[in-house]
Amino acid sequence: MSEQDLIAGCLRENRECQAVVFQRYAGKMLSVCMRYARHRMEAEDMLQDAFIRVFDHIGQFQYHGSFEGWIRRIVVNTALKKYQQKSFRDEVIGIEEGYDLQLEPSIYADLHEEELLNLIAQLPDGYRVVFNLYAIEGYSHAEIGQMLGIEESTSRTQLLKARRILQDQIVKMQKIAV
Amino acid sequence: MSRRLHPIDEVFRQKLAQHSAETPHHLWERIDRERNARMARRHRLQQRYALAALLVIGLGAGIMSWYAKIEVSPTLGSFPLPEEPVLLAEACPPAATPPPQPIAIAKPESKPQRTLLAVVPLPEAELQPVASLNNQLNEATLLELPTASYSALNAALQMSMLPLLLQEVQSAPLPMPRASGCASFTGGKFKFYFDAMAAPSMALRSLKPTDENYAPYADSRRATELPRYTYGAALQLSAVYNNTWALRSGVHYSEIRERFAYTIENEVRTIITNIYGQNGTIIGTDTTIEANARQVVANNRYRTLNIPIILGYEKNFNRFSLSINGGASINILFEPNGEFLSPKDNRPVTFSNDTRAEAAYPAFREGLGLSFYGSVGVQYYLSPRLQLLVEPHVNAFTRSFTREDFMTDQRYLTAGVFVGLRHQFQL
Repeated sequence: MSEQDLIAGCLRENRECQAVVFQRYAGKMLSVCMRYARHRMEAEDMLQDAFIRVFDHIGQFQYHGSFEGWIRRIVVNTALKKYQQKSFRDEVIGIEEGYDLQLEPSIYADLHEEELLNLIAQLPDGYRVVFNLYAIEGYSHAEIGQMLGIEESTSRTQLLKARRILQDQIVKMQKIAV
Repeated sequence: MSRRLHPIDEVFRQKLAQHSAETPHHLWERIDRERNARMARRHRLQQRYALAALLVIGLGAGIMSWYAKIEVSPTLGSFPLPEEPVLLAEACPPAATPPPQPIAIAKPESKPQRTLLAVVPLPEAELQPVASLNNQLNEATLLELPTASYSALNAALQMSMLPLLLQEVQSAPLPMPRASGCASFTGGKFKFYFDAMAAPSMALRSLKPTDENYAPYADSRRATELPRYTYGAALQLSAVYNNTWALRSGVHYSEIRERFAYTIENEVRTIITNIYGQNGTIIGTDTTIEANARQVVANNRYRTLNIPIILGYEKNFNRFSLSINGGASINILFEPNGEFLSPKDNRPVTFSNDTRAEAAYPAFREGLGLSFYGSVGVQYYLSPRLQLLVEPHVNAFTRSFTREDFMTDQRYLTAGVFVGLRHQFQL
């Protein structure tokens, strides 16, 4: 069934079409949710809310971009609703200086997807969201500031801190492995 | 997107941007179930709106048609003519006619204050000329005439084509109609009003555990939720019959407010503040750790929108009128928002009946069904069409605001004083 047929079916509230859309995109979108959530159960709740919104608002899809990209934006927005400005004002973990470690590229190459997801999940809420939006989704700091209602400079700081924590964690993992 | 990425960003993007996780089987069932439930709720809400709209339209149409039947199209039978036979244009045979006979209009014996032109019964053969006159002077046969008009009318009649016939009528005695019961083409027995009112109110809450085991939870809710002010507003239309019986409907809005206050002991908070250098760049951060008690405060709101169907009885006293009203309201919208103690862990949690509100505890119903309304109103005429309205009222909700399976049964009775304006209008 083509993507257009699926969308038309979803517009008619056809459950089979909805099920196919879910099966086709749920894996990737669950991975997106896992990057924003603290744990798997929270990610599943996010995915559920996101797909309900997808089916509720599928009439608004204008075929201007890819259907997957449209779904992904809804999933990211759903995830962001969890973390309002509060997450960025009252951050629990702080790093006093924004310094940068230089690690060997081979260290990164050995990391598996599940390990990376675990590392992201351990970040504090605000850092995790900014890192996801900037490093993986590709948003700029200005866009992130607008989306989250925070200063652009706060977004930069959060990103630096997130990178620093991730690098520290990766170094620790390497030491344990050695 | 074309910017140069930090190595660590690059790694995460490459490995995770297109990563796909294994989806548990139960997830689609959950989504499907949730969507079905939401659609059923939406359907119920649409039915409720449709029912309310039908009620209002039906009532309006009923009143309009009744009004039109009784007042706008009066029948000749309702006119205050004497019981004696009356000549009507419709009763006359067309143009089959003997020559006209003279009739005369009698002059009043003394100076009457009022005079009425009337027509006495005549043999059928003599009807035609009178009918012609009746058509020309239809209003004159129905209305009381001042004395001054009498001579002018008489002159006009004498100049008409039937002077002889009129002279004969003049010689007959004039039956006087009963004074009361004149037909009226304006106003009618129905009067229509538009009311706009607002009210400060108070809400009396009854919060009971649905089971003895839940009594401590009910106690903790009573201790943390305190009543605040409540207010309401109403827009309604009234149809008042014969200045006595009233049927009213419209929309009533009310907002019940409460304050939730709860103290969390020994909460640890870490606050990070950026430190900026002279050129505006961030050179470091300050980390402050606070450990103290924190009070959670929230303003809880229960908003309702109802369509009332109210019957009233009115009594007029010069510039004042009193009314007693009673009826039922159909709830078409209920929005609870705020925080309370979670039944799970007795910690603050938001509540709502909106299933889209994430992390909100689903304690409240989506609709409140029927409530009963009663009021006593005092109206003061500011002008013939405008009244000042003061209406103390009570509204009792028959259902608990919380769901049936929730630990507490939460009911409200609101009382307040509507103050507003009532405008009389004509259809």
